[in-house]
Amino acid sequence: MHLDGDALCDYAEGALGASARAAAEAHLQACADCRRELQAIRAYFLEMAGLEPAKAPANFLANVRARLPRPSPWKAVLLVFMRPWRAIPMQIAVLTVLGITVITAYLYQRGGLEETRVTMLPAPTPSAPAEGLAKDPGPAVEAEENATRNAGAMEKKKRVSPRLRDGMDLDDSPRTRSGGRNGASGEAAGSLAAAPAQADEAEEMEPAGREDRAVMRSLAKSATAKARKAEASAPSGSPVAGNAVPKQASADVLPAIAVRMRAARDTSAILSGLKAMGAEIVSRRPGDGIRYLLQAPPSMVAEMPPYLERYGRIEKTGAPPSGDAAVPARLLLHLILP
Amino acid sequence: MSNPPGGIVLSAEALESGDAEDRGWVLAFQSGREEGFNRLVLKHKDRIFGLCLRLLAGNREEAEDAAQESFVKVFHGLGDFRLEAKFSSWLYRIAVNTCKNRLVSRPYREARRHRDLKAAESDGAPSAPSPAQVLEAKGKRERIEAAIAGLPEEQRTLVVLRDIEGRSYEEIAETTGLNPGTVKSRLNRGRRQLQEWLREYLREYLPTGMLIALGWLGA
Repeated sequence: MHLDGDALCDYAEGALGASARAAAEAHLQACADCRRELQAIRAYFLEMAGLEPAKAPANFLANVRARLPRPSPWKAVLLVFMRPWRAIPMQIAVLTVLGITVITAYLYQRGGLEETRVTMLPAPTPSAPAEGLAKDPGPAVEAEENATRNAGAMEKKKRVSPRLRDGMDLDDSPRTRSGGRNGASGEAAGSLAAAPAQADEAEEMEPAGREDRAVMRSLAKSATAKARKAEASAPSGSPVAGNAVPKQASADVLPAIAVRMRAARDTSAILSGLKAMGAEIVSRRPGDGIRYLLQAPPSMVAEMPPYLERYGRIEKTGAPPSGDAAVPARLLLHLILP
Repeated sequence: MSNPPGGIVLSAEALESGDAEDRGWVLAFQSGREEGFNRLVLKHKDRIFGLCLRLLAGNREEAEDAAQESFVKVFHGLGDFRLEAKFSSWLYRIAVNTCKNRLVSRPYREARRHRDLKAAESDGAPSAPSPAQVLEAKGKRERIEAAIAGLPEEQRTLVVLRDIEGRSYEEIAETTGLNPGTVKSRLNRGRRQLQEWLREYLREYLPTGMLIALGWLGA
């Protein structure tokens, strides 16, 4: 039996395995017909491989290029500008975008991208707000209504105020303050006891009104800690707890519009919360933002809600006589609205 | 990969270096230098033209047009070409498909039918050349080319890619879309047909010394 054509081709190509090759060689030694067939196959391979390669016609490249679409000059200009970007690997581009996102989120968390503006307001004379309250109580109500109305309208238009400035003329954000110089110790008595030391510290910075501010700082810190505890245990239906934005909200990377809507809602909550606590709006000052001069019971100073630190700024502008609970303290609420 | 038959030995280094050169020009084109495309055309134009010439049964005009069209397609696809594949394999696939499309296109089939009819009127032969026609061809090369042109399209493609261009079975399978086993069996069918047509010629034209040497090697 002869080797078939496929086996002979494979043999000639060297594509047979060792055993098949040995068997084919044994057969070829004995079979003259298969040897002749193999010679013809080898001659065929030689002839085919010996065919001279064809030569492409002259001007082949020029003819190919003539068939290519001519790029418009605008496209050429665009390519020049896009060329550097095309060279950037996709992985690097993705990592860059991710990096920018992470840095942005980190800065938001730290409050670095928020507006931090500290306004030092001079303490008004003790009689001025009282006179304003006595003479014209109408504007106070009007101011509150306006503020509420403004907040509602802004929420509707989705164009609402930026975050209100951190208060209390401190250079740290509320988050930093809570674990800062005073640590997280939030006991009111402890804070009151620490007030003289802080007053000394503030004395170096502020020649006037420094005692008041130092006391205010310590009160604010203790009140903050207190309010946090209260927030944690407060029922969700409570007007203050329900409307106030927890501090952790700032850590979220929210779209700017959502943040502004929340700020407007909180402005309204702040005003109603203050009113519920017995504060009374006595005047509104024009200027950069809206400032409300309030008369509030002294207890309010100690129980200052934490969200005021975040969304507004309160300064005690006139200290009541020591121990006299009947005389209200004067507070200046500074709200920054668009 | 086994070496292509016929004494041409393509070393792995040669293939690698050729492929590396292609990669360099591809990258140059992808980074905005059109010179990369020009270099690729200049390097491969003869092979692609020869491939098209044989696949289109020796029609030079059609072959030149098909080869140019293949390179135009390469130009449009080169920007997205991924270097995991060999450029030459991709180029061959484009050229083979371009020729295939032409072979089934209406104008080409009509021209071919017209040629066949004329041939049938003269001696009753269809498109495949008879041994007499092959032997009537003047030179050695013309005879072989005439025989190749007479093969059915698929067998012709396989014979050209393997026995003339020296592509590996894997590359041919990738180029034609056939599995490697089918490539081998259909290729051998085409080879047998060619040997049949060229039998007298091969016996007659093989140098005596070579026949003796082949007989000695095979025995």
